Amino acid sequence: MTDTLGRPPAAPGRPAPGGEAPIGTLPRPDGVAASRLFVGRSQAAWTLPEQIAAEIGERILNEEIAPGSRIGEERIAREFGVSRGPIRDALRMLEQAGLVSIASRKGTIAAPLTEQDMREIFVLRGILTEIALRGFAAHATPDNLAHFRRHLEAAESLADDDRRVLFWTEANDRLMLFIAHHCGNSRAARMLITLSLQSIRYVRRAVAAGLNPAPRRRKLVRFYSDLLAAYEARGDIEPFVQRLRAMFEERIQLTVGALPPGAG
Amino acid sequence: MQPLPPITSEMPGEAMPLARSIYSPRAGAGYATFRLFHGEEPATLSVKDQIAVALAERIVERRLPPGQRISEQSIADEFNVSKAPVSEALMLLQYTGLVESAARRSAHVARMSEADYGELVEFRAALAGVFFPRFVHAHSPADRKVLGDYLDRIAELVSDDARAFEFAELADRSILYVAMQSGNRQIARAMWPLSLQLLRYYALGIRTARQRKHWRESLTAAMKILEMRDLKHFMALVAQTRDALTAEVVAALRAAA
Repeated sequence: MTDTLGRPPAAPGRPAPGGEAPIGTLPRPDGVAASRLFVGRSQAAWTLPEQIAAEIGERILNEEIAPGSRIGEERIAREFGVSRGPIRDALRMLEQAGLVSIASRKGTIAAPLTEQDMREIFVLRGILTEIALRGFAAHATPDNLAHFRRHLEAAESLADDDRRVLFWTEANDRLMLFIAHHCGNSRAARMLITLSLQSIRYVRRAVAAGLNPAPRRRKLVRFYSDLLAAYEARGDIEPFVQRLRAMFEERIQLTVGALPPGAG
Repeated sequence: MQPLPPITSEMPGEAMPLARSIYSPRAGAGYATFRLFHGEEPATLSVKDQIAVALAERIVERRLPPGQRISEQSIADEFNVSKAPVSEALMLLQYTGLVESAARRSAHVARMSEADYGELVEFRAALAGVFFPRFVHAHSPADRKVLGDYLDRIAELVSDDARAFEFAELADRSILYVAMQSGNRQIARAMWPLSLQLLRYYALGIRTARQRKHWRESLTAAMKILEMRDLKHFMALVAQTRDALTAEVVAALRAAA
């Protein structure tokens, strides 16, 4: 399968409205979709539909498949050299993850980017991250704290590098998802993973628009490093919940500016 | 507030499914369909969807007990179909949280526990922290009328033990209605599966006439506070009702253990 699923020389889909893909020439991490679609499962265990979902998902996140554009089952089936059955299964997985929407008449499209959608995602992310922050306190074992620190160091090492900002957003997101994964509420964690997936294109657009400059990145790193200190000291987490609330609000305001005019 | 489009497809201008189906005679009987298909209650269901509905009802009503292994083959035999639609139905139930699967081809009915209930309640309380305040501020007299109709129907069932589940289902539907008015599709999307999972617990926690009377009183009080748009008291009542129900569910779970 690696052969048929390798990145094709000519990417399908069309460039995003306005010409060039919005994240432009910035190097970007691979496997972003798969890491959220199949948490904790090695690539060797993916089924055929899962491999296809991982690939299509990644193209959607990279906007090689533009938001709102049609995804033809037949064309993908031809490209991957498989029947339409596994393609359909893959698209259902991506629908569950909120990356595509399937309408019986209009066919399947990559989920469009709209201001309303972005607000809804970040509002829900905000409230569920509060559960995660509070819940992690009860699971702040030495082992978990050590992992937290490693995630934090990864984010910290990338915070100043303007070229690697997409790697920074990914590291930062993974830190948040790590906290969620150990908050004791598996439903909140699962939903946060899905929401993270749905946020990525918005976050990347904000990056491309220069809305995530180094001082902002360092501020977020500081937030997490203060949070880690609070967990280690068994301190009060509520001030962080408050700070988080303000940060999400700020993020929504900022991201609005990164959306194309008329979105939503 | 604008009615919500269906969650899975873009059909602007369509009447809001939830408001329509409250008057549907199928309410109560079609509770699993209603929630599995996000309020749409399609007139005809595909084979896999019919299987999903049948299994969902068995699971929620605990005719299929928590933890029970589910054999694709025996379901396929029972419905006289191949294993493919059964497997798809189980996939849908897995997304909905009623079925769990450790490995591929080995599914079981989601287990019930205090911890699991605690998780559900914490999750829904977080969502409620968004949709209740919005509703208290932004609801219309028409919304109050819808809730009033629910309350009337709920009131009729207070002393009827045989229809305890219907009571719980309607009470839950009224909360779904409020959630759907929030205008946040992410919240709407999250609410449907939560609702099915919670119903299984509500069926345990709302069994006696005393419990139902308490619920009716809470809902009646909530209606009054709602009309005054008194958010502080509304949220306090919500929390109080939630805690009372949690105590009942936990007691029932312990008794069953």
